[in-house]
Amino acid sequence: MASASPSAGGPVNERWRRLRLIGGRVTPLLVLAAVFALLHAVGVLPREDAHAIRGIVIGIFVLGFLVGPGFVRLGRSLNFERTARIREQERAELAAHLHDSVLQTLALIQKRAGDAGAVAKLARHQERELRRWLFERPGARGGDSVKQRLEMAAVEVEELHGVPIEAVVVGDGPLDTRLDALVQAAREAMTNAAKFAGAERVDLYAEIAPPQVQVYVRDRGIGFDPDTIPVDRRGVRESILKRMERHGGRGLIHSTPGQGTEVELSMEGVPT
Amino acid sequence: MRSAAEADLPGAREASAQPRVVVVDDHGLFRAGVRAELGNHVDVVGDAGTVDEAVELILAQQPDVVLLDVHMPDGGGVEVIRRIAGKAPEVRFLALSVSDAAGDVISVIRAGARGYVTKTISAEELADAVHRVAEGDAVFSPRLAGFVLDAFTHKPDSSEQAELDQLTAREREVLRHIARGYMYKEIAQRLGISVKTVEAHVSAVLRKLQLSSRHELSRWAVQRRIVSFDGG
Repeated sequence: MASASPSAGGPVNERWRRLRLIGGRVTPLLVLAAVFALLHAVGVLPREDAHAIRGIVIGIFVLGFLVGPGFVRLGRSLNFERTARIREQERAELAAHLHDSVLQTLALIQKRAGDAGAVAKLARHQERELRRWLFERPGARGGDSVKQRLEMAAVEVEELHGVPIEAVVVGDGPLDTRLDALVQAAREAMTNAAKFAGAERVDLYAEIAPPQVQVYVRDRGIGFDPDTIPVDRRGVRESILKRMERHGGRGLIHSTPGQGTEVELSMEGVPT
Repeated sequence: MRSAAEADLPGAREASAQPRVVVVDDHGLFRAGVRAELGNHVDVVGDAGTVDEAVELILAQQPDVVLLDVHMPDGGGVEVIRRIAGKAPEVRFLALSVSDAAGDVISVIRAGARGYVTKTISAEELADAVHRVAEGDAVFSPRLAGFVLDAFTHKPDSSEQAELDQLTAREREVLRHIARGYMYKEIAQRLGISVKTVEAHVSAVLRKLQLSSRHELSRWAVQRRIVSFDGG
């Protein structure tokens, strides 16, 4: 408490000094008075001394009452100034962050104004970064949850392939081996959609409600006939369908040429 | 909010080909962009950059739809809706935001907005959303559907569960499809119901959201750590 930061303004430091000065003097006196009062009450002290000491004790208490309220007031106003100072520091931190991120990106965008693809990519990247910074509390990020992993996978695929992925995740739960496999399968489905569908965007929807988890990856791209997946398309067979089966889940692919594809992943018996 | 519920009455407003629209956003660049994008599809009758300007303009113009930014100084979109509510119940609001914070989005919907779309929406989709809101329908983006499912899925404890109007299985199913990226027409096809019925389900969800107890939803928000930063 007593260590006011050296960068603090003059008046605050001055007040701290005064507060410590008064506090340093008043507190021991009050303690002393209390000790004497106790000794007196217990009857340890000789009678002659007791009279003199009683006078001193009363004097000290009176002093305490006189100085006390001012002491408290000073403490309060000091608290207020501390709050203001903390706020000022937060503002400075915000300004620094905006400079490092948003302003830099805006500069890049101006430089590459001719390249529409690059500009969109820069803007989206910055938007996501800023959102993370604004809305994710540092405390909330501890430990891996299914939701975090799915959202992260969506961001990674989006950045890798330049197709926006709209991720909506309802509910949450802790990650385990099976759910990790589910996230991997979802990631593969998103990658396929981004790479092959030729769609403007991909929708990811997940509902995590243990014991059941469902994930849908949808695009409005070219689509294909699911019955004739070429044998060499390992992505779909191995990374999605077989992977889900191995972990006691299920993968389904609904696709219509010309209308798009939806991959449905589900898992039962997930621990709550 | 009362006005939103009343606006559901069939024939309350005649659907016109070109809805009259006011754009409210504190970023001039964004207002200009929306004007340019929507120019051919709707009749933009004005735009405003502050809460006060917006209230004055909306009362003077009485537009069909107000495209409303969620985040603005002096109370944002919620404040605009509050101040218009009693005076122009015919005016409908469609929230438009880059915000990801569920708490902010839910509060503007609860104040009476008929829908929420993100600013990254394409011009055609936005125009379509404006038309739908003008006709009295609710417009849910996948993200809003997710927020709402989350709000209603969460069960604090069984004793208080009754307080929160639960969604019906069908409403939940419709919301899930919206969250999965399906359009109303497609949802109708998949569920074997009419588009009108899909719209009715979405409107019902909107009403439940607006009428369920504030206490219950704020509890949900606290538990999900999505309460907005005060004054921030």
